[in-house]
Amino acid sequence: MMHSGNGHGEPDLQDVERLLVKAAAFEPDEPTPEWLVVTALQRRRQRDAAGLRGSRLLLGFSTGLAALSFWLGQPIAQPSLPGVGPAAPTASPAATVAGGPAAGSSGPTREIPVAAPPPVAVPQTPAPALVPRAARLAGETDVPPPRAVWRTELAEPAAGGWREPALLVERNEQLGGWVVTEGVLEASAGRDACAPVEDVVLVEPTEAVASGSGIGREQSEGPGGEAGRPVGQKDQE
Amino acid sequence: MREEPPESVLLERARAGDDRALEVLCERHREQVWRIAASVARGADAEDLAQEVILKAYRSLTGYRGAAPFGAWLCRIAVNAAHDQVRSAWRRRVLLFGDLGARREEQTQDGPEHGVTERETQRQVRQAVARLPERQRVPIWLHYFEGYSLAEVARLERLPEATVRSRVRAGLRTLSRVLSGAAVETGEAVPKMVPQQKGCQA
Repeated sequence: MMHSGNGHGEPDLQDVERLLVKAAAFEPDEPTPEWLVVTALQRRRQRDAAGLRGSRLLLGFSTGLAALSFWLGQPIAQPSLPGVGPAAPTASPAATVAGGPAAGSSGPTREIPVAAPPPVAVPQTPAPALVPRAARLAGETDVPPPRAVWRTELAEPAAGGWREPALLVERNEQLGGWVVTEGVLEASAGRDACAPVEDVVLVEPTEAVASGSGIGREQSEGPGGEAGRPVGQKDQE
Repeated sequence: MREEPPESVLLERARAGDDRALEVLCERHREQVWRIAASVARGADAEDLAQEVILKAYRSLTGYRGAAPFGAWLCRIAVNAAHDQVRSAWRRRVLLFGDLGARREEQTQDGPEHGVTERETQRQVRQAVARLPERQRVPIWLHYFEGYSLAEVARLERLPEATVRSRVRAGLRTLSRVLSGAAVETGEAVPKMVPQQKGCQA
């Protein structure tokens, strides 16, 4: 392993370099899974299929809104997914819904009887049932399902930055239940980043199966504050 | 048995949408990806992270122009994914459950305490590198862990070598601060520099 010689006269940096050289010799204690690439590409195909379904639903929703807008003779802000439909407006939708002139706008704004959209773009698709999906993964790949059986696979990040409420669902045998973690998946400059967690909760297996769509409802309320917490569950921290 | 085509041909096919070509390419670098993933995560998290790297590579393939070797490009994606992994608050919290069992298991299986400690130190140092800002993280990882020279890193990053050198230096300073501290963001204690120096010099 080469040395860069960056630590001239700086013992601290030389120590760090030594640590790095030592860490370069790291060998994983687990063998490389032979199914790694195959499984990843299978996940991608499943993700594509789910994304396509979500896109179609959203496109239908957008078309409906456009038709309503045309009928009312008033432009209505349309939600958008990256790469699907028109871009979202930059003005706050809440200002339009609340009635009266929006900040910075001229002239009156007509009140439109539509529900305020969530604070962030949420694909209006039903949440997939967790356990059946894990079972499907196991059946299709012939390997144990990944611990994270479902993690915001309803939409793909686009080039621009956008935020997506996300649930990470993991099976924990030790606790005998599902660990559901809620956070925000932030995609910017083409790279995902997970940003602040709202909570970690334990969901009993029966609840996870029975209320898969319930989790989806919680998700649609947005990631911030109490609304982002799965209700009726026990906090771990 | 049929011989696999060269990397350039596979890349061309993969960019044209040939999944099989991408699979072969990633398969060739599977161990490298796994090594990065397993150095910042354990068990199912490492598997998840390695899979994410493949998925990210698939998504970013259209943006890859072939200026850098595919292995280096994939490694860059993996290092950035590792960064997301160690910075991710949700993983950190979920690990609270899985991590305890994994550590107990590791300690009983590996036998000598020294080996466990050493691997743990290596892992923590790698995690500290993964937490660095991208401009410092990538050159340090490629240079020290993947064996690229600074000149090669400069070519890969399309930067002057002096810039890379300066970023590496800045990264080493950051690491020095981080590794000297009692704790990092995860709340886990990171070994102080003094005990580690003994290990390095031995």
